[in-house]
Amino acid sequence: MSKKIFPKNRLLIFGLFLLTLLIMVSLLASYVAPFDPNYVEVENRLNRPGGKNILGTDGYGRDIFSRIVFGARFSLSLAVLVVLINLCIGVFIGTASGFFGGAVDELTMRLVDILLAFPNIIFALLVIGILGPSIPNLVFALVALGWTNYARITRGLVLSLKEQDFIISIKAIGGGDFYIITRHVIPSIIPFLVVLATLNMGHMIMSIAALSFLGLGVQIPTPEWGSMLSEGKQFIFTHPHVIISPGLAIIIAVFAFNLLGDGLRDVLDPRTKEIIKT
Amino acid sequence: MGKIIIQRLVISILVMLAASFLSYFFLYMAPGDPAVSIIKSQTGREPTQAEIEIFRENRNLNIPLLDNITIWFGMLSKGDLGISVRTGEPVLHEFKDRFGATFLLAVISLVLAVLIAFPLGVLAATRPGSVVDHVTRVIGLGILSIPEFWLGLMLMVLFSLTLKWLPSFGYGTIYHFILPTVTLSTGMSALLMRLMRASMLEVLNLDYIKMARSKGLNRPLIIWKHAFRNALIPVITIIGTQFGHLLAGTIIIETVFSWPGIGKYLVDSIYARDYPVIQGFVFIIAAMFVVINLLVDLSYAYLDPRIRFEQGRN
Amino acid sequence: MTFKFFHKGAALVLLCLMLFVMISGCGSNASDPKKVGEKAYPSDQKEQVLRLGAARDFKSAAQGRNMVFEYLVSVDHEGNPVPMLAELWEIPGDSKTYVFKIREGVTFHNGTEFDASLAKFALEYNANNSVWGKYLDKIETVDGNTVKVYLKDYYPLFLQDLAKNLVVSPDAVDPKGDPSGKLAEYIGTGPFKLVSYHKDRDAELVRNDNYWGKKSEINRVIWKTIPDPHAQIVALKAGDVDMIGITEHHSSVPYVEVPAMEDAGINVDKTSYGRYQVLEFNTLREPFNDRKVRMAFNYAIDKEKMVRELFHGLTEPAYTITAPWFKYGPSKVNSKYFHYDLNKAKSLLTEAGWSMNSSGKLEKEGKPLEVELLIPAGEANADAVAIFVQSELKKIGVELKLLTLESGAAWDRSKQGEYEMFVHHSFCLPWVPGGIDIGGKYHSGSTSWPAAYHSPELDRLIEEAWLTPDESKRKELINKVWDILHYEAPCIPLYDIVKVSAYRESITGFKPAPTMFDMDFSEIKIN
Repeated sequence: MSKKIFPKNRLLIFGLFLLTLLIMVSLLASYVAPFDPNYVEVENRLNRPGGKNILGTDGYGRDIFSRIVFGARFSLSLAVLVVLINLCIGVFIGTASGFFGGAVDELTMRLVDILLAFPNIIFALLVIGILGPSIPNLVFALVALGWTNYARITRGLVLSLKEQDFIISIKAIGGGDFYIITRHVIPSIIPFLVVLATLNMGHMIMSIAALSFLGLGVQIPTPEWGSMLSEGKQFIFTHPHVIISPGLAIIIAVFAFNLLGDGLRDVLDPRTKEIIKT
Repeated sequence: MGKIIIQRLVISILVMLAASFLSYFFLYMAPGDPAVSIIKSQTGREPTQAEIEIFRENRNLNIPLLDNITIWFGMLSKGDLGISVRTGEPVLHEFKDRFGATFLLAVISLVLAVLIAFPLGVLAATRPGSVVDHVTRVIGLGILSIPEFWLGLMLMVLFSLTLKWLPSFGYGTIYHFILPTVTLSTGMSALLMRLMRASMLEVLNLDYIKMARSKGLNRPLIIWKHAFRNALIPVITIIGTQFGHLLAGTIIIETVFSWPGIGKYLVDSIYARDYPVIQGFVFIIAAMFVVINLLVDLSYAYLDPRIRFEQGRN
Repeated sequence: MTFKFFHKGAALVLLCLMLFVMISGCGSNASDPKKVGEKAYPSDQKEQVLRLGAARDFKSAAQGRNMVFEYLVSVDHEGNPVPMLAELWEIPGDSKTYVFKIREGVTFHNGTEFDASLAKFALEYNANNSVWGKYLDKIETVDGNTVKVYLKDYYPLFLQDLAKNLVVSPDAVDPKGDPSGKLAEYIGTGPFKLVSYHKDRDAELVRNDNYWGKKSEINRVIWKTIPDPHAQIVALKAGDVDMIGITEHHSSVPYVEVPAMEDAGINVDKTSYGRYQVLEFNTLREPFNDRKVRMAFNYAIDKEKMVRELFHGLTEPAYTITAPWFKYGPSKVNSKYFHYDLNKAKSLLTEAGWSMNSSGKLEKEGKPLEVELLIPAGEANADAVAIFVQSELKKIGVELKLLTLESGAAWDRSKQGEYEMFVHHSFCLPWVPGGIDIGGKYHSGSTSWPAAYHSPELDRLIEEAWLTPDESKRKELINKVWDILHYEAPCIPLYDIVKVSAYRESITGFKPAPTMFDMDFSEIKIN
């Protein structure tokens, strides 16, 4: 048994390690980064990696390493923000829907079905393409459809909880709905939500990067991984180092969350696997 | 059963109408004038006020929102999606001309992904905890962490620029398909592999498989003939419901590889504020999703009596 | 179990089949990708095929249309009207009547001979889509090759406007022969005929052997649509196309790639069409309502360095609002007026009341000097320019904030005067360059730029200039307009957006066309 679990735990621990590293880097960005991420020195543009600039400089002579470090702070916090908003909306709607049932449930679940069928990247494109690139618009575009998955899963969890003896008995002794939801229902689904949110973090980091890559993300000159790729794309054939390292940064961050989420899912109740499919 | 079908059909139609109305409304309310963006994209400079007025007049852009909506619904009932402000061509033609390229890209990638993912998924599931299982799992997770557009760029640098083996762009010969489809199918295969593994594990734990094993039926037969076939159904259902997302995934790849599909055109139309095109494309895309979901749901409900009574919910 | 699977499997197969039917029905037009590029190596060695890599679809590019269609009147590089399908013209008396003598021996691609009545049709067709149409009184054919156009009022830009008006055959329009119809078929008089076209992919043109002018050596032109500029370069290097960049208005070829291309033996042509990228000021607001601040900003930016480092020295820094060599350009102003001088910038800001605070930032009455630069998304090189200018202004203690907006939204802001600085570019031919026409950027009647520099005196001069049919008087007045504008520094001219075309070594006889909307293949040969 221990042999079977061990490698999984090892991956989990590796994911945790990567994530801690990322969080440390983004918190201590001003200490880790050797240069001001927005310091322009056109005479020093497109330097190859090595020397004063570990990862080289970009098209404006800015230090790529420093931009990646500050980008970690930016990309991670933006993804966390979007995931948290999605989580809150989704849990609220999902709990209400699952707990009270009836016409409201029917209506919201149909809405969720519809929204789940709609590709979020097209929607995000539409919203940001029309409203213009900015952080609030980006968050709005990702939240508008992003909450649905949380709602669907929360509802499923709540439905199955509702049938369980302890909830039924609390109800029988006169526990109010609000009390049951806040004290019993939500606490019992938290582990599932943690796994879901962790896996979703990776997805969000990628979505934000993809939108920035299309020029629909953050404002210049904000150091953000996706927009670094977008800016660097013009140098792809002459100076590929400009787009290699930001891409690797995205991969590391997403990989950390994926490892963590995947590992946590296994550690949790086996039922999770059924409920949270990739 | 009949009630469910009618219910879902009504909802589906409402969804399609709502989707296209919303996308139009968004655009109408947003800042920016289609006349300006379109003249600008054609001439490369801002037009004068007089030019804008003439253009608006000629392309029916001066009609108020509500009139436009009623006109649109009127046309829709006749199967007409209007005319692109940018090119002056019917929207339906614009869609038809490009859908083939997108569809080919999506389908070839899907087939490629299935060919890679299914054997690996089954292999991992039959030996849970083995080295193969762990390696495929870590690699799968790793691949799922790579942004598709970045992978596309890297493949381009490697195979077009450095090795000069493949064309980096364009459409036409079979070589043009290689880089975009490989890019798209990489992430897809990692995802499908994980689904296949999970589904297969579930089936392998079912009683009848266990019984077949205890009866001493030979292993490959059990795996491929009994377990695999049944594990396949949920996976394929997911592929069906995810078809829309598959098409959406091609959008970024289309921009990276200059692929002449609907995704790129839609993005360009959004920038140019080509109302009829966006409205029409969103309507068609929404219709496709809804129809596919409906068909998947219904066929599933029809085939599996248990689901019939659960009203085809998740 | 197997039986059950069979049912489900069958249903799924059916589903797939339905999808295929649905889709193949949709994509029938697209399922036949004609590989025009394949014919690029003909067995007949004498055939000359030119393959163009273009960013846009053939029919949505002006350069594409201008291979097939021509104008009655065209313009030269400086903006002077020159004869094309109209051999000559007269403006007798009141300056409201134009008599065009139609060139003889011109035929449309479908064989119809071009004459005065067809010229009348083309004019009527264009009047519906052109500003001069509002001034139109009537069009008359005098004889087989003379057309007379009567305008209700004097309209100074009539001939220039004609240089954007395609001469189309009545058969090219749907419904046929209806001047208010829309262009449906490519039947023109130009040097090339369109033979096949696939949306967003390619187009094939063959030489018009009956062309009235100098016939090209090129037998066929293949237009390949490659939206991505890097993909274009790869295609050029790989020999999939012969020429790129020529089909665009301006530099679609990224400047950074040029040195490497030249090293690889590719010819690169850089042609100025006098289009300058500029940073527009909002002259109605603090701090740019003060001329000294506007001047200081002009002095603070090292355009030489910008062009050298960011644009690889491929273009020239700009020191006038628009190109001085245009017919109505600022040829008489002091071109050194906007040269880089950090000390002048600092002292001008001090004179304007801005002083350096302890943290190295300029402030006035406790308010720091912070300005916002609006960038319309998609404006060429705008990001690079913005980031560079930001770093330059930081050196004199100015904080420049950057705001990219979707171009429609940015345009709305400019119309409402809701900006402080704005990345823009000067107009190009055949329009009036520099925004000094009536209703143009620097005339108070401008609806697009209400916050640009305007003054009653400037308005009076501009109006007088354009309502004076006499050319030498008009030029005198326009020089006065430029004198005022240059003194007032209403914008920061940055650099000349040159058009970069790149072509393979095997091509000789490349000649830049007079305007960025045209292509000249008359002397091109492939060796």
